[in-house]
Amino acid sequence: MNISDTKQNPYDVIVCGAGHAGCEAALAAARSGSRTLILTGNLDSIAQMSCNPAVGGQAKGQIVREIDALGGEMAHNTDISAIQFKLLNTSKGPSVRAPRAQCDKKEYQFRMKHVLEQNANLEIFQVLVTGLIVKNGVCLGVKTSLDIEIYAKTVVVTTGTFLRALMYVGENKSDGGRLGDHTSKGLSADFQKYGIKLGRFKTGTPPRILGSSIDFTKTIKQYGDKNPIKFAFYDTCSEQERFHVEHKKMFHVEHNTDKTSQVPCEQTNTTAATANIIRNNLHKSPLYKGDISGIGPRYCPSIEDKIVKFKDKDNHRIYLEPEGRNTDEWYVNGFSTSLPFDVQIKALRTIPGLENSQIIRPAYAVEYDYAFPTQLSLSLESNVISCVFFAGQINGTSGYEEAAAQGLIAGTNASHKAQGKSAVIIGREIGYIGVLIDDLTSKGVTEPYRMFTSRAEFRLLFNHGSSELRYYSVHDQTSLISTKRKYKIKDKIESIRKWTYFLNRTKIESNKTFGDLLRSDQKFDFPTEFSSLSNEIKEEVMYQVKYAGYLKRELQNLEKFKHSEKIIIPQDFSYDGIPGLRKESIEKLNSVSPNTLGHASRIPGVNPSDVEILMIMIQGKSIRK
Amino acid sequence: MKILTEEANSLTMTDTIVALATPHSQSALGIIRISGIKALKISKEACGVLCPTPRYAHLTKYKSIENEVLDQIIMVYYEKGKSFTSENCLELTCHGNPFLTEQILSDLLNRGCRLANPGEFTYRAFANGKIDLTQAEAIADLIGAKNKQALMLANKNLDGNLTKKIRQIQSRILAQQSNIEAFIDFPEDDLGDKKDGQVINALNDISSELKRLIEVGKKINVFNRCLKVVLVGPPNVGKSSIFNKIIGIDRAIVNPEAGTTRDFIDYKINLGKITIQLHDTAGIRPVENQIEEAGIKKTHILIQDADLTLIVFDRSMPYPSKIDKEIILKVKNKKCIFILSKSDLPRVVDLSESSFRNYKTKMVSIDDNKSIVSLINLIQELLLKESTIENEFNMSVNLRQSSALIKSRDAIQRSIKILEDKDGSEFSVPDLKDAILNLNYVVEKKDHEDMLDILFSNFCIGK
Ligand SMILES: Nc1nc2c(ncn2[C@@H]2O[C@H](COP(=O)(O)OP(=O)(O)OP(=O)(O)O)[C@@H](O)[C@H]2O)c(=O)[nH]1
Ligand SMILES: [Mg+2]
Repeated sequence: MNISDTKQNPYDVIVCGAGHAGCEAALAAARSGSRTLILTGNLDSIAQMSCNPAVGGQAKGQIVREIDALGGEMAHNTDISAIQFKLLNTSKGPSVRAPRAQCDKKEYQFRMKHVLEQNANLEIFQVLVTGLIVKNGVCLGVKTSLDIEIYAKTVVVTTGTFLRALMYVGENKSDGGRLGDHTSKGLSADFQKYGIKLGRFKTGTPPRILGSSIDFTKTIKQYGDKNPIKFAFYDTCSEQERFHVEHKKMFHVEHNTDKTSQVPCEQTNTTAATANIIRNNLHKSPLYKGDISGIGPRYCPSIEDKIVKFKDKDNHRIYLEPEGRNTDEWYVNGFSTSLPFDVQIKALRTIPGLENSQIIRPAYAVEYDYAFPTQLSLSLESNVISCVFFAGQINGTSGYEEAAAQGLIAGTNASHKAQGKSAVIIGREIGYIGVLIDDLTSKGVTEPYRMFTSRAEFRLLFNHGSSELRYYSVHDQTSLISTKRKYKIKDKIESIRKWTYFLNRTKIESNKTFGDLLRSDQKFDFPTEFSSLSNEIKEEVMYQVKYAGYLKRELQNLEKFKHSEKIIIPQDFSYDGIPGLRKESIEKLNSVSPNTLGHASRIPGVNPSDVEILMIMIQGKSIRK
Repeated sequence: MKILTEEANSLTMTDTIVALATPHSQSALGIIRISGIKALKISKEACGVLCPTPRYAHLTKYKSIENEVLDQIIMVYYEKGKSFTSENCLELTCHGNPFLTEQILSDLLNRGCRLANPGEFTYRAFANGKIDLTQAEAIADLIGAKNKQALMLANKNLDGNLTKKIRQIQSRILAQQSNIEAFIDFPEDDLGDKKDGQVINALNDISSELKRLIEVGKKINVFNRCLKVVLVGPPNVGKSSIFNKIIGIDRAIVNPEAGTTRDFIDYKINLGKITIQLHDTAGIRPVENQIEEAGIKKTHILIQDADLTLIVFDRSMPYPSKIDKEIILKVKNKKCIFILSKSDLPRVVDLSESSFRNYKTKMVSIDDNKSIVSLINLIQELLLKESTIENEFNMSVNLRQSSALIKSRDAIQRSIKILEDKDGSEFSVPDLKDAILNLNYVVEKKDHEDMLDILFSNFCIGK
């Protein structure tokens, strides 16, 4: 890193943090042509999976595919480092099916680090960021623990759970955002100094155990899919065309190229004895003693929470997940806890198969600061300090996928801002990434935010296979994917449109079209020309034809939605002094600064009559002009 | 937002609006309401009150723009933020002469006000954040509802009877949505058996509940209740004769002798949209014995319960003013028609000075069919205009509310069909959301967070 002249020659973009958000942010910025610097407190924990060794799952799997549609790295990185693939919800329709993969944790990290290292526009440096350099409300760069100031046109903050982080193992309390890593105290105070409001969340992680101590005769094997669904779209961008560290022959971890040898997971469950031990030791849990005040996620409760809240359930499911091919470390999914270490072992050993288990890393709870995401605009730039973007867990989200998606958008927009280009805004009608950012910036968070498919109004249109089609128009504004891929996506869209039309219109027997037969589950032969198309195209066409009725309605609703999003609230619009607006509403509106009337209507506490008044005022003002 | 959007384009909140708040007819007093930025200017220029004290009755003169005194009025000023519309408001109470109120209104238009659209005062109150949609509608109903019971119901609605009911239904739909969403969003969790059958049953229950609410709405409009109409008056005035004429058959005994009717008879008939139960009574006269006293008591009770009292006086006979007073005491605050019977006979006493002269008056002769038809029309008109409303939910459901309920129920029916067809439960969710959304138009919104609250409290999520 060349730090001597950054004041005269600032970086375009500095990314603080190299987790899942930071990596995507840095790559997106660099790939869209910005001179980018990524700073991390620890080079060895780049792209680390602090919790379970898996990517994807319901709603998250769809996000990862959308990340690929936007030219992000997570999808391909997962495909390469995965040791098991599984498509979830196969008993349901395509829109709610979700790909998931177990990953080799280390391989995932090493490869991502290597991708960062290989990018010509991107520099990496290990140093702790201790504060922002802010003048007149504009961020000019960052302060670091080496007392070096580094200047940049824009800064992306992706510091995860490291702000004023505290870890709990029973009564034991220590500083740090992850076992073995640091905490960042100065940054919180710095943010608050500039008027950024912070809240406190907590999360937890289960113990890791040694595989050789598991009795696999008592657990049930969970195999991956024979024909895995990958995350990246290789039909429009082949493996060879992707940025590929492996091609440089510098990659030292040999990743398994034999796709058939996936690694199974194991399933077991807690017992009455487990519940007893936990119940008898609740008073030692910092969660129950009230030591931890932060709010935890309801969808990912600690084992003590599950046992207290759902007394009638005899047992709770536990999945054992291998952390990689070259390690015997196993992740005990479903057993997150903050109980003291001795209780953890005792309780764990009541689980069938784990009677002699050896814990090699204890379970712990983490409490950390997050910044209210309602202080961000839809580009993820701060409304409080300009030229600073926030992405990832610092915004109150949880999950690698949610973090990566925000990183990608924040990095792109930081880069655009540095280059004087307009911001890329992903609407909620485009996909889960749009829903994510709109929810965060308009509704805010009351618990660590995780994506659910139910959050999306247009879920039926968000089948994972259609991600590239939905995000295609976004690339009018970006240079995140190659022109060649853009053309290929355009061809794909055209082909899908053509074949959907064909199947819906072409009659094959007694006045029945292909579509009619498909919808009534009858057997028939597709035209050979159709059969020879790529799976990606065929599946999308079949989905659109088979569920045409439902999708048509969804599309009509989408049009209505777009209409209400069209009423723009002018940037200089002042909420103060508008007659009839309640004080609480004015406060909310001022802190969120919604872009459109639709955006405003989704702010909790802003009621329909407020929206009505706003509409009248906006129209009134525009008429006066 | 959704409902008022279209109208709002035509409604600009910067205008000062005026309207006559009392019926446009001859009455003791007329009230004119003014709301908007011009209110204070009018107070100063038309009413001659420079700095009106809020909520104080100023006795003053209303002068036209040509400086001509139009009427002596009472003016009350309600300041911004504390008035019904939350804008500066004036209430002018003048004499209830239609010609006069018309003159004042047109003068106000000359001064730059405009006539309010129907419901615009309420709309402004709503748009200024004074009331929510249900409240606004209940208030609109309040204005329309003129009789006591309807007022009572509308008041209950303000307290949130309907709101409560609909909120309950919303939560029940949300709970079913959460039963579906849990299995979509947490495929790897151990959630127990699928609940599709259970969901269908619950949705059917919700649908029937909505249907009942919709029925209430329908019934209110056609007055399902049988309305009580009572014939009273001195003996031998022709009550029974009129009774028979109205019901169309000779049911009551008619006799030239006074005191013929001893038993109380009644008869149900349909008059257009409404059903009435007509009661004939014994004539009211100075009490001579206990039996008669009991009869008069009974008449008294009937009058108390009546939706409408028909007071009959024989115009061809002189009456002691004593009876007049006795009856007026009994029908105090009741809805009445004052019938002058035997209009074919020569008039003996001028009843225009009677205490009944303020009531609707009808001259009737049983030999003149036209006069009977005209009486029946008047009965119908009065009952339709001002009827009592009762229903099992103790709430009123207006047209817009019931259309939201109907839409909501249709959406639930669609979602049930999709679940039964087993196309995939995710396809039923848009309709469930639609059902909730339609109810959101009637009460405050429920959203995704409310659904998650229910989901996480019912399912053990987190493998
Ligand atoms: N000329 C004329 N006679 C009428 C008219 N209506 C009723 N009568 C006569 O008046 C007399 C009394 O009529 P009723 O109908 O019995 O009077 P009522 O008020 O029911 O009498 P009580 O039951 O005794 O209270 C009868 O002889 C009727 O024929 C009318 O419109 N014109
Ligand atoms: Mg009689």
